[in-house]
Order: sequence, then C-alpha cells, then structure tokens
Amino acid sequence: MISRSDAGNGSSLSAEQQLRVLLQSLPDYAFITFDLGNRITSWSAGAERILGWTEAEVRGQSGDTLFTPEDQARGAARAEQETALREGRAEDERWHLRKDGSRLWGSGVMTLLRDAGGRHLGFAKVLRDLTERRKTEEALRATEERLQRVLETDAVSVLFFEKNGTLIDANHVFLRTSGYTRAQIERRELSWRSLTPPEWRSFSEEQKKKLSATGRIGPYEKEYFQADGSRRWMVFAGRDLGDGTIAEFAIDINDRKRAEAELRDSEQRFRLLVENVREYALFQADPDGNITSWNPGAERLFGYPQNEMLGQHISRLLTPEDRDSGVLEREITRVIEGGREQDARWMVRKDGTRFWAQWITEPLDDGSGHVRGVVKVLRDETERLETEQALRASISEKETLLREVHHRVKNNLQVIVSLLSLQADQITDSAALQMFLDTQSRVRSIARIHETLYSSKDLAEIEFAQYTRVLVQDLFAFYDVPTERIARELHADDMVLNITQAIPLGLILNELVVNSLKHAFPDGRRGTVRVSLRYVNELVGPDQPLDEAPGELCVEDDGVGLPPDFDVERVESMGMYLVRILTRQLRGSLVWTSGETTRFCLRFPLSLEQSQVDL
Amino acid sequence: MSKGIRILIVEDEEIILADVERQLRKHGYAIAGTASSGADAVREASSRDPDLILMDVRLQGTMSGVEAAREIRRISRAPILFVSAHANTLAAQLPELAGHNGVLVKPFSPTQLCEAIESMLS
Repeated sequence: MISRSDAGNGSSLSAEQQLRVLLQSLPDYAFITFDLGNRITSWSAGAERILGWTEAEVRGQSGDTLFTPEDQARGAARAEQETALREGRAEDERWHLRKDGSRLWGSGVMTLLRDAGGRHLGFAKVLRDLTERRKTEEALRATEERLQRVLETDAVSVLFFEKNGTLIDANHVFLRTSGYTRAQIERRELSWRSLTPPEWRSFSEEQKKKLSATGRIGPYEKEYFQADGSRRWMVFAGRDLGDGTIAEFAIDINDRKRAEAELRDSEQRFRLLVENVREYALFQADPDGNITSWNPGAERLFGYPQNEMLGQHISRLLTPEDRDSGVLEREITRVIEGGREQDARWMVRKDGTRFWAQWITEPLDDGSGHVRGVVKVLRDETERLETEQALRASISEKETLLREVHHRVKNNLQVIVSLLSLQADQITDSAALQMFLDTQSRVRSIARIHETLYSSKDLAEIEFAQYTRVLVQDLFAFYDVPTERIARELHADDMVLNITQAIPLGLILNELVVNSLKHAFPDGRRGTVRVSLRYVNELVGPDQPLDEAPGELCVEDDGVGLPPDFDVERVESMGMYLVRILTRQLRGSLVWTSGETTRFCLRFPLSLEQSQVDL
Repeated sequence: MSKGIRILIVEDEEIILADVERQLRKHGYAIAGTASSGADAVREASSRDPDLILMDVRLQGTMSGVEAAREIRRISRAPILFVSAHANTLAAQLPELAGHNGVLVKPFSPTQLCEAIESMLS
C-alpha cells in the first residue's frame, strides 16, 4: 500500500516515493488504491484530472462511486476485485463516471497488493482515459456500417479485383444478378478476363490503362458473361484502392439496352417500311410547316427529290389559291393541339400538274409528350375522284332520264284522258258516257302517281298523304261536286309508298271516293266525305317501330247508305270489281259497314314481309 | 252561247289541244288561235291579239312557255294562264314576269278551267 506518510522520508527518495512521484507525474493515468473493503485509500493527480474529484473528496469513499449505475447494480467493482484476488490482476475496459456525471471510457488494470509476507493489503488500479479513442472507433464503425449498407443496396453490384484481374470479392447483388457463387470467387476462378466477352477485351484493356494512369475507371458500358454463358449489360465505374485491389461499382442496364435495341429495330423496320411504300407519300413537317422528312413515295408522287424538299415549307405543295389561304398552317396548328385530321384537296407536282390528294395528318410525339411536328400520309386519289364524278354524272343523267320518262308517261296518260274526253263528246247514251268519265278519272289517278314521282326526290317513292290530298281534290273538281253541298275531310299520316303499291292504292281511293260522290248524295243531298290514311298502330308489337304497322285507307260518307243486300264480293259494278282485284294485288283486306255512315276500310301491308301480318 | 272572249291556246300535244279547244268552245269561248311551240305562240300572240293566252309550260322547240311569255310581254298585255303539273316550280318564276299571269294545275276539269279563266279576266 502506498502511504503518504512514506513520502519525503530522508533526503533521497525511497523506491515507494519515487514510484509515487512517477505516478503523480503521469497525468494521463489515474492511480487509485483501495483497501480490501473497497474504500479508496489514495488518489493520484492523474485521477483527479481524469475523474474530477480531489483526493480529499474521494478518500474513504466506496470504489463503486467510479462505476456507472448499471455496473454498480451488477456489482462490477466487487467482481473486478474478486478476479484480482483470485488471479492477481483484473483487466477490463468499461465506462466510468466522472464527478460531473459525464462518462469516460477507461481501460484499467486492477492489481492485488500484498506485503512481503504475501498478506493481502488491498488493490491498486491504473486507469487510462480512452474516451476519445472509443469515440473515434465508434465513428469508424458507424462509417463502416454505412459503407456496408451502401454495398448491400439491391441496385449496385460491387466487385473487388486484384490488380492482376482476379475477382476476389463481390456483393450479393452481383452474385444474384450474374448467377456466380461465392465459392467460385473464393476458389479464384473468376477474373476480369473471364467475365469479358472477346470483342470487349480490347476496350477493357484501354480501361485498365486508364486505371493505371489515373487511378480511376469509367463510367463505361459493356457486356459481361453471366454464369450461364449469356450476356448482360452493365455500366461500370471504379478506382484503385491503393492496397493492390481495385473496386468496381456496376449498375444493371440490361433492360434499358434491350429497349434501346428494340427501338432501333423498330425504327429500322419503320424506316424500311417508309422507304418502300411507293403508293403513299409520307413526310413530316415541324410546327412551322417546314418539311423534315420526305420518303420515296413522296418523291414519286410529287416529283421532287428529297434534297429539294427538306427544309422547304409545306405550302409549296399546294395550289396557289390554297397557298394564299394558309390552309395547311391552320391544319398543323389544329393537329398539334387536337390530334389527327384528314382532308382532301388539289395539290401540285413539280411539273406543275395537279392531282387530287387525300391525306391523314397525325401529331408527331417525341415520346415524352412533346409534339415536335406532324406526319402526313398522302395518296393520289385523282382516279377515284374522276370515277366518282363520272358515276355521279351518270346517276344524275339517269335521274334526269327517269324523270323525263315519268313526265312523258304522265303526258301520254293525259293524252289518253283527252282522247276519252273527245270520244265521249260523240256519245249520247248517258250510261256509256258515265263509263267514259269514270275511265278518264281512273287514268288521271294513275297520271297523278307519275306526276308525283316526277317531283319526288329519289324518283322511286311517293308521299301518299300528299297524293291522297291532291287526288280527292281533283275528283271533287272532275265530277263538278260543289263543296258547299258535299264537304270533304281528310286525315292522312305521312306515308311513303313505292309505285307498285301506290298505283293500285290510288285506283282504289279513286273508286271509293267516286262511288260516294256518285251514289251517296242523290237528289241534291248534302253531306260529308271523309278520307283517312293511317298506320294501324294497334297491330304493332311494343318493340316494333310504328312505320312497320300496316296501313289503312278508309273512305266514309254520311249519305244514303248501301243497299241492304250489298256485298262487295258479289256486286257487279266495274268500280267495286276493281276494288276487289286491287285489294288482292295489295295483299290487303277490305271491310265495310253501312248505317248512319257508310265506311270502306282497306288494310294493306307496307312491305312484302308485312303481307304475313294478320290484317 | 258566245262569251266573246278570244283565247290563244299554246299546247304542243295536239290531242290535248283539241280536247281543250272543244271544252272551251263548249263553254262559250272563242279560239283566237293555237300554237305548239314558243315561237309560234309569240307570232300568234302578236298577230291574233287574244284576250287571254292559255300557255302550257313544256312546248316543242327550244323555247319554254315561260320564255315565250317573256317575249309575248314585249308585244301583248293579254293575261297569261299557265298550265302546269308543277305549280310550285312555276310559281317561283312568275314574279319576274311582267303583266297579269296565273297558274292552273294539271290535270284540271272543264269547270276548273273555266273558273280559272273567269278569275283571270275579272
């Protein structure tokens, strides 16, 4: 045990005094002694500097004071002394407490003190403050851990080579991507050379020279062999670590390279397609209308070689009248803002001749949504236009001819009416004269059909409501019926019929109205003739359009009525005979009622299919 | 019973012309003359000075009834009653034609013909 009373004994220092002076003169070390009861018995200047307490403050205090609460709870001080008792010394590194409560990392050796007889006197502890070193180590460890985490990212392969090119380490990303195993690396089977395809070796050699010269390499892109012999693209960058090894970082760019290759193939195919399409002119223009591409089809169609058109304004292809109107400039603006458009107009070849061009214009996208112009696909449709025009002219000519035919048929029927009229002038028998008049009326009803067709739009369909209106009016005039005596009422749905239906139906209408005019109102009797034309909607299913319903033509009068024994099937008059046979021709059905009013109703199908409808 | 009214009939179809002529005579009208072409109509209108001209629109030759009427208007103020199956088409052309003009729609009955003539002359 070191005792203060031993210091300064005599002029020369004793060995103990010398030791004490020595211990006091080492400020970086704390020298502390304890009795066997763990009480502090001495405290060096170094201890005061490192731990903060003066000797007076700690002498007699428990050695636990210097330990952290956690170590105190564990009985660390006692355990340390027991080790020293058992083994003569105990050595460790741990956190200790300073007077101000802060902690220091101390490396200490606890030694058992014995007297000459070997009796235990206490303990001596030499403690060194290694807090700064500890912090440096922790910082280094943190840095290493960060670096390790970086190396373990899923995206970056890390490879370590010896300078001779042998691969000596790689992270899991490289192993997973390439298919090589760690065992192969450990067996030193892999090298820069074995990983590099033959055609890339000279390039790799250049990179190695660059590495020797600058200590750095890359970034550069190249293919390397994977474990299964296939190739994979990566971008590499690395540096000489200065310890005989080279680190390379690599990122997989295989997908990007494949997409680029596919795009190149696609562009190549497209270019071949564009260059080989000769029936169509394909060319591009920038947003200002300047031509930026011009395919062989355009050369053939317009007569301008590519070198004459690149950079030229698109309006050069237009006729002077269109060029001044700015029509293509407006089209380009619309296409860029709103997408695809199509148009057709005359264009001009290099030799000044014109052709009828039909085209589609599409916006040209640079892939990132930015429109960098338009592409125009154009075809010479002059021949088709001329064919269409010839066809239209031919149709128009035939329409005129057909119209003329209807007019002449009507005129001829008019001539027949006049012939009958002239002939009738020589007839004295009233019954025969009536027959002539009735026949005139019938012929006029047919003439009216042709006249209506002559005026119709398509020369094939007759607006039968209008026809009915005119014919009834004609009949009243022809038979000199004063409307103040016999009124007429007409209700007609719009109904379109073809000539096959219209002629028999017109004749039936003629007969039924004439029948009323001639027989229903004898002796100046007054009354009304009602004519109706309608669709029989009640015969149509709920899902059928109304115009698929059968038609119904009714003629009704409030005259004297029919004879009690009237039967349309038996009556022998020419008029009713015509009604019977024409009803059959129309595949219709006729019903009549007689009482206060006499009513004839004919139902007829409006198309052949409808002839199956139960009328 | 003569009404003393002289009518020029312009009709290119002789049978129809004969029938109309007969009907007019039957109803007391006198026939000032007949013509089957526009040129004949202009000449007859000039030489016969009718009280009314009954004019078909379609005629022989290159001149239509309306074109003939346009020429007649230079020399005659007689009312012209056009006869046409297509009243609407004709009606559109009449306003540009000077003088007193009317339209009778074909086919017509003798009564309708007489009423139209009387209406024009009243």
